[in-house]
Order: sequence, then C-alpha cells, then structure tokens
Amino acid sequence: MPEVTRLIYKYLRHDKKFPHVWCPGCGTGIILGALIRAIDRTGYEKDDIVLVSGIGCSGRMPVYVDFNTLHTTHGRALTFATGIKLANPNLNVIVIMGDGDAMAIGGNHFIHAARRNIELTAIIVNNSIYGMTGGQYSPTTPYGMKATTAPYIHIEQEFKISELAVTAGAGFVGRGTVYHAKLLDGLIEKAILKKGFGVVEVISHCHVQYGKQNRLGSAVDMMKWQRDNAVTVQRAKRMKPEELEGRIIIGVLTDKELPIYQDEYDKVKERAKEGLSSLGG
Amino acid sequence: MEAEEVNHTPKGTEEIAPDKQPKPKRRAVKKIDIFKAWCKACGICVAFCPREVLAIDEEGYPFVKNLDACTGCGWCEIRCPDFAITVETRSKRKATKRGDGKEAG
Ligand SMILES: Cc1ncc(C[n+]2csc(CCOP(=O)(O)OP(=O)(O)O)c2C)c(N)n1
Ligand code: SF4
Ligand code: SF4
Ligand code: SF4
Ligand SMILES: [Mg+2]
Repeated sequence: MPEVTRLIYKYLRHDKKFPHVWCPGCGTGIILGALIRAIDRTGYEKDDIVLVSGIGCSGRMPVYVDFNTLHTTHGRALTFATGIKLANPNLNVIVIMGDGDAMAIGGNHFIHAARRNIELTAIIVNNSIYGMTGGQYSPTTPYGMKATTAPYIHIEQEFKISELAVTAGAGFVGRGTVYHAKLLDGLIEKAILKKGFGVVEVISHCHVQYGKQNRLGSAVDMMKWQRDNAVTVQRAKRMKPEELEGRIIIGVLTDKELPIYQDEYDKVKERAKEGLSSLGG
Repeated sequence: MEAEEVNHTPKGTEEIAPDKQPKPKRRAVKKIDIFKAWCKACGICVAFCPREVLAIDEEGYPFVKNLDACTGCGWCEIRCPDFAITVETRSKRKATKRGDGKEAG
C-alpha cells in the first residue's frame, strides 16, 4: 500500500468527508497532508492529539481528521486551546488558524500565547487574505495589493507573522511554503515536539480570492512564485539585506529554551501548597 | 511512412538470441493511481513532476503518460491538495524522508 494511502486511512475521515470543501488547488489541503505526515512521525496516538481551529477556510481542517477536534469561533482558537492544555497537560494541542484568524481578531491572543511560551503548536495558514468571506484584506496583505476592501490598493504595511512570534517570545518558530511541502513536515514535527509555544507559519495561496484580484494566476502560478522567491535560513545568512527584499525566508527561525508556562504554573501550585501547610491549613 | 521507420532493437543486442536478451531495467515504480472522485483537476501534480510523467487530458484531469520515466520521488502525492494521487514503489522510497529544507532554492 502506498505510504500516502496508509496515512489517509489512519488519520483522515476519508469515508465520510471527502472530497473536501476547499477550492481546486488550494494550499490548505497540502498543509493538511504535511500535518498528518508530521503527526505520524512524532509517534503520538490519535487520541493524544487535539486539533483546534477558528473560523475561515483553514478553520475547516478539523472536520477532516480523526483526532479530538474543536472548531471554535473566529480568532479565539488559542484561548480554547490554552484551556484544554491547562486542564489536561497530557494532550498535544495543535491549533490551526488563518492569517486573519491569528493576526486580526486573534492577534492579541497570539502575542500573549507566545509571550507565555505555553506548550501549544500553532500552525498559521498565511494566504495574505480573508479567503472564506470573499477576499477582504488581512493584516498580512502586503502594501500595494488589492482586496475587496482595498480596491484602490492596500495602504498598510503587512505583519510578519514569524518575526512577530520570535519577538513575542515563542520557543520555536519556523516558516515554510506549500510548494516546499516536505520542509513543512519537519517544521510541524519540531513544533509539536517542542516544549513551549511552537509556531509554523505556512505561506499558502488563495488563488481564488487574492490571486484573482491581483492577477497572480492559477494555484500552479502562485506555487511557482513560492518556489522562486523562497530562500532558506542558511542561504539568507549569506545574502545582503537588499537581496533579501521581497524574499520569503524559510526554515527554522528560532529554537530556544525558555521557561514554559505549564512548568511555572506547576511551581506556583507547589508554592501554594507549601504556603498552606506552613499556615497549618 | 516507410522512410520514417526506426529500428526498435536496442543497440548492441542485435546478435543476441531472444532468450538471452538482457531484461528491461526494473522500474522504480509499480503504478500511479489517480483517484478521480477526489481529484479536482488543479494541475499541480502535472506542473511540478520533475520527469514529465503526468499530462493533462482533454477534460483537464491528469493521466499517466510515461510511467517508465517516474522515479518514485513522491512529489506529486505530497503536493496534491486533495489526496487524489498515489505512487506505489517497489522498494521503500525516499519521499517520506525528513524534510531538511534541501529542496528549497
Ligand atoms: C467574530 C467573527 N467575526 C468575523 C467573522 C467573519 N469571518 C469569518 S472567516 C473570516 C476571515 C477568514 O480569513 P482567515 O482567517 O485568513 O482564513 P482563510 O479563510 O483565509 O483561511 C472572517 C472575518 C466571524 N465568523 N466571526
Ligand atoms: S477561497 Fe481561497 S483559501 Fe478558501 S478554499 Fe478557496 S482557494 Fe482556498
Ligand atoms: S513520483 Fe515523482 S516522478 Fe513520479 S509522477 Fe510523481 S512527481 Fe513525477
Ligand atoms: S494535484 Fe491532485 S487534485 Fe490536482 S490534478 Fe493532480 S491529482 Fe488532481
Ligand atoms: Mg487567510
């Protein structure tokens, strides 16, 4: 049996929910593939995984997998995930969000989850647009591009999700593209295994909304753009800042040991118990 | 057209008796399946196959044009957004190898 068939049978709700709802060629399906390959590599049992999402095209991912799943409200996936993790630290909680989901309405939750370095995995499908609701600009829409809410071009600067996550204090941050799908397997695996907040930003394409409004062509054309514009972290180190202008740096951007929220919280519980006993309580 | 007739006998094997002919090189790949019920004819598998194994039919769906050229690299199944194409190899292939970013430019 081909490897991919084994993975489909094991991890996807193949007999109920396929073909999936995403448009032909949408990058989100490629990310779902990378996610199940990564989970397979970690060796975790399906019942130990919780996949949490918000609302958006990317937010539909939990529908298709055979893990514990939670499809929450727009922008709040990380808050639900934080609750799950603190209630049952043995679960591996993975959060899938869109760029609008994670950076606009959920932006505050994102920076604070990173600051706490809470042990969660956050995968962000960055397609530079609100795909599901019809192509409105998001905080990651680059300056000068068009959106239904920016017909005379977008005048704001974009958020750089990975750089924001590094600065905010996430223990692990990696960026990939759907074109470089094998790299994603490794990044997602590392983020899941990381004790601490693990972020994987995936540069994806929404050719149907963003691509169409900006005349970027088909899904294939947009993946060629990813291929031609990505540089690895290693190569980027040898390039001048002006050469890196407009390029996507892919690979592991940070991987560091920082205090983890859950560990610190356990210490608080110990201190509280000691405090109580010294009071004779 | 007779003028365009080509000799299909591989070079250097003309003199060897039929039963002594060297076996054709074993293909790395047994078969490629395209599951039409899930395939959305996006063309990604065809566009990025490094060996032009796949082509697009008149309805826009991919088909296997040249199985012999397939190396079993697995990129078509890895990049298919719809889990609609599978490659069955003879031996364990490298496609599931750890992503190390080497494929990046
Ligand atoms: C509280 C709330 N506000 C707004 C919406 C409408 N809404 C649904 S999805 C979405 C944005 C989707 O964009 P993104 O998160 O980037 O996901 P994509 O569809 O691009 O994957 C919005 C604004 C909502 N469902 N709930
Ligand atoms: S609208 Fe865009 S993001 Fe949503 S499924 Fe279609 S291509 Fe994908
Ligand atoms: S396995 Fe590789 S060579 Fe074979 S059809 Fe797929 S992409 Fe092409
Ligand atoms: S990549 Fe998948 S969905 Fe797209 S044409 Fe090929 S088999 Fe069909
Ligand atoms: Mg989006």
